[in-house]
Amino acid sequence: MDSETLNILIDRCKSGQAGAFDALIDLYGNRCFGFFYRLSGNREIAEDLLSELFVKLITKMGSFDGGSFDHWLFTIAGNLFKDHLRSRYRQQKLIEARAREIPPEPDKERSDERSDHLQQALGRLDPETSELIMMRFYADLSFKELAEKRNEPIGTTLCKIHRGLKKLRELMNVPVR
Amino acid sequence: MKETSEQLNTLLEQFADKQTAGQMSEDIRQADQLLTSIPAPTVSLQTLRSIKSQVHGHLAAKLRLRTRAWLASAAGIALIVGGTFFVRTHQPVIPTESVQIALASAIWDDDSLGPLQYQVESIAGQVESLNGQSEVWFEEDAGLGAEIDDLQTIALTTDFWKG
Repeated sequence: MDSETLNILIDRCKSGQAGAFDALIDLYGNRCFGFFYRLSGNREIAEDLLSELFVKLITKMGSFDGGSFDHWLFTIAGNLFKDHLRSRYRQQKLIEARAREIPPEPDKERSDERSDHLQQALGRLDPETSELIMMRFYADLSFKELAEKRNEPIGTTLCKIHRGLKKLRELMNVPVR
Repeated sequence: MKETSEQLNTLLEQFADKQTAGQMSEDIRQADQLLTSIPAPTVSLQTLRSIKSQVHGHLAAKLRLRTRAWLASAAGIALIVGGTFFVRTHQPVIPTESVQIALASAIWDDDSLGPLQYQVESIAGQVESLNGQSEVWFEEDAGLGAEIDDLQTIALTTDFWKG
């Protein structure tokens, strides 16, 4: 969807049109779900957070004042996930639980096994790094945007993501130089 | 929007030498490729439908709330306008001084006031006589004070209350 069409859709959402929200859900539902799923490692939690996100957008939409909608949307999604962590789990417990929640299922297809493996690997990264990686991947944010969002020097963000991605590949048993 | 590989190289070269920057860029590219090759599961259509219906419900509630607030403020404004109009069109008529004097004398000269005045005086007399009686009662029961003093002395000098 081009930015002009997206802006029209956002304006319609701001005026409270249910159809526009449906279109927005169709457009971003899967990406946001993937973001939440990769962070939480749990389908139910990801679905709950997805629902919470779109309900929250009803009241938040008015505060969107241009710029990158993806950036804005995934910032809200990231904050929602942090709230979820704060309210329901201690971060370390979640990481442990995540590893336990995903037992290997030999009957599944190879792609599912790899997905589970990736999920476990993500669970072993610290939550901050895995959120950064997911934010970059799903929200399509540049390092500069991520650094601005986190209010830190770009070198720090670059270093964290590079280190995280490298570790992720190691955990996935992909040869790293 | 993510950087292109050239932009990423340029960015990394600001922090590391050309060779290290190239390696870092390659690491990031390969990790991105890895993530792309393993997509996350998709959300079910049923969940999407349920989210849409939740959103519709919230939008309807918001609309109801907004309509209610609008109606309440419209009613408030109507009330203020109506009240102002009423007050302006119904100014109390203040009689002139001579009419006021005439009215006052007419009230006080009214014959029906006599019995009322008599009743008021009679009630006042009754109140006064009751006042006098209470004083007499207090004087008659002057021994009561001595009895209270005795009881206090007993209470202070004995230990009966300790059980």
